[in-house]
Amino acid sequence: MVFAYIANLLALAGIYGIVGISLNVAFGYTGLANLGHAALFGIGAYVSALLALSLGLPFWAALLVAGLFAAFIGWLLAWPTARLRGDYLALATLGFGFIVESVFKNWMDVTRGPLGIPGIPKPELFGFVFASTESYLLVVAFFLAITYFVVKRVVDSPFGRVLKAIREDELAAQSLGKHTHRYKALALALSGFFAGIAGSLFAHYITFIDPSSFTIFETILAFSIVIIGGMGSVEGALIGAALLTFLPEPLRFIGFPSAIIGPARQLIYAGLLIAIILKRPEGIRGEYAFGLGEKHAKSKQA
Amino acid sequence: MLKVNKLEKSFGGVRALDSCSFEVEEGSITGLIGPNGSGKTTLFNVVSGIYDADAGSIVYDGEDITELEIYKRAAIGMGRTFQIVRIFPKLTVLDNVLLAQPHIGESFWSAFIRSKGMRADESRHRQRALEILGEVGLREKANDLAKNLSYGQQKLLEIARALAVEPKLLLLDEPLAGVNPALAVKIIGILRKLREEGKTILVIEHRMRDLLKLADKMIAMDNGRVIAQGVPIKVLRDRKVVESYLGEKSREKFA
Repeated sequence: MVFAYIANLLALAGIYGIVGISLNVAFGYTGLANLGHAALFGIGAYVSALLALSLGLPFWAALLVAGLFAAFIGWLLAWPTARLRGDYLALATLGFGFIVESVFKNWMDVTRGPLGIPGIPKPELFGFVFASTESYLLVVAFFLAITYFVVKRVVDSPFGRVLKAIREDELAAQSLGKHTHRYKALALALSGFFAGIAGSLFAHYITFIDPSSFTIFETILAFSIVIIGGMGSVEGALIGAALLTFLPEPLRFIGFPSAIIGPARQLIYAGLLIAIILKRPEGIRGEYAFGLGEKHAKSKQA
Repeated sequence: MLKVNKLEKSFGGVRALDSCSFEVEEGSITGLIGPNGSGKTTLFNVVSGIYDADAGSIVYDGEDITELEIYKRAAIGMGRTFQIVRIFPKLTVLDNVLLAQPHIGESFWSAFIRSKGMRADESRHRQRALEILGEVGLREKANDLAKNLSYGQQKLLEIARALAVEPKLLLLDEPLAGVNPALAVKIIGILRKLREEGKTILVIEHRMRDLLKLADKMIAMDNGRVIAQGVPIKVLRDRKVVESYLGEKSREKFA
């Protein structure tokens, strides 16, 4: 019982760890404040759930297609927003998030709108069903490990170096011959791929999804994970996800009514976020401080 | 080498470039002067592709590059520095230079595959980057974060980065501004050596005494137009140039 309780928290922390790492690819490494990140997570969840339920696709295939589809959407998102940066990019992607959310809510024929999609099957491998929380934890750990190693490998490469250069100063990177729009599109695609995988893991874990799981609040949670853990640090995203999952839990044991636990959780996130930004703006493991805008003055016209 | 022909660029009602034309000869150092707001940096930004020209053309190495995308201009041999340094502050000095070199390893897939060829290419670039850092005297700083360099060192790093592009034409926007005299001497030495290597340099600079030591030719701009060009000392004594800097009444005093 106690073990199942902890396994549940670990599974959620793992899923949000993948969400955090995937946001870090776009935000922490490339400097793209994608406020529509939860939409990519949601697209992964819906695509995977619908493929498993209507086409009977096995979980593993559904997860892969969900990741690829979310990657494609992330890639598409990059092009109309290619010339935007800082706050403007944040606003445009916020709009993207709202559009996707309203598609989830209103495309009744496919998503069943606010009714949600129940009965999403648990993963199965050679006849073994990962139905229990403990066994599902293995599935999450497996994909978390893949995410960790792939993202590590990508950001520690010459490709990753270009991403960081774009974060630091996109114009300078362009003048050094980098096709930055392409790199940003690839970063958002990679970010979308793992967000989609996290969404799929979430859907098949909870076995029920509705639009309320993929709103701006989930984006804020993802940003909190990255900012608290540290921007531009893969380990940081893991620490952030674990902290934000476990920290509010003691509330349950104090005996607060559940109506208070929800808002109290938000209070804890907010308090933690404010403390981090004030006292340690680079986060627990991060390379650099939180900030949206461009730090360089535009080169003057002289 | 570089031919700018009747270039126009306006920002709202301000004509930053107004039918601006001139030529830069291969293997020379050309100084670009003019009072603040005369359009020098705008000109750099149009030539290096940051702004699109409203009209006119830019011919580089016999090729019209007016419409060429900014990121393709490094590949044809154009390197530049900025008036306000634009290094990558949270990357190491070495990474800053490595970023300027065209890489096969920078593609998305090679980040996964990491073939032998790619790793060899990367270490070759690393070698070259260290060489360039040696030339500007920053080799010991290779693994420091760029933001921890002094201002003068950041200027050197920007020059190193422009060199790593392996440029034929260098556009330098005030390389001597704000650096101490000893460093200025060093930068002037570097620029002379680059000319000996056959590179073409177009440099904006306000330190006339240093520029006189350096430039083969000088171009003076005012209100987005070229008002004088030719032998440096003659350009500096040109009536219109003196007026543009100091106003009309000063003519008798200085000219």
